[in-house]
Amino acid sequence: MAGGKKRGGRNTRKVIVAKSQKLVAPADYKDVEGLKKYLGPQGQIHARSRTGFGAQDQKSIKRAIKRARHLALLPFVG
Amino acid sequence: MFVLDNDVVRAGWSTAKALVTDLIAKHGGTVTTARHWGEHNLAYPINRKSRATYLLSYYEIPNEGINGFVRDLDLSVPIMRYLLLAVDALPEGEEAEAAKEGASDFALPEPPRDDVGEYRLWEESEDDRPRGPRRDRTEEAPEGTAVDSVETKEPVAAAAEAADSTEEK
Repeated sequence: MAGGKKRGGRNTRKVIVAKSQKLVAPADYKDVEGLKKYLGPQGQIHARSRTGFGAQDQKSIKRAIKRARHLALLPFVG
Repeated sequence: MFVLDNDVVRAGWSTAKALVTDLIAKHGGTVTTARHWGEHNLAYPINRKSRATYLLSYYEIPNEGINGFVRDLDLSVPIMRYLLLAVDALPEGEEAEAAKEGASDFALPEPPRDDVGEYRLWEESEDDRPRGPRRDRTEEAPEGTAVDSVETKEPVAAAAEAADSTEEK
């Protein structure tokens, strides 16, 4: 495939939300709309590599999402 | 934060709020603020309910009262979920928000039915009925179904019948 277009392989393009939009991590579980940005279509929490947050901010997001899930403000799945 | 059953809220918001505030007082606590935080669709059904009312309360409770308070919350049926957190100070504007409920013209609309909202989480169907042991299901099965049409024989009687048929030959 010399000179040709690369085929196959894993798609490594990632959308880094926080870095691109200069967002502040929502640490409050009541900010449901803010937390929804960091959930995937099936309700999974985006990884740090995707959100672009540091360890502390990512941890605060994780904690807030899990609190919101407990109160049925956010889904566990779907 | 407390998640309250809408059936209790329909009976009156003050009654529903008293469910929580009375429990706090019972265990030696003092309520600073308690206010309606909205009536929402739940992200997933709890006790077959797809909507509920949220109560946000800030209070002080002594350490020795917390275990009993949590136990009473667990046993309370209308309090569907709760989240207790320790906070350093009352957030700004919280007192003003809570004070609105004390106004004379404060009134809450009656919570909508469970099936009103963005989507219906729970629809009763045949598969959702609580199922008992298998023998109960066969008893309940309507006439003419495959379960009724199959005649089962006692093993002993079936063996005797088979023996008779061989003797006749």
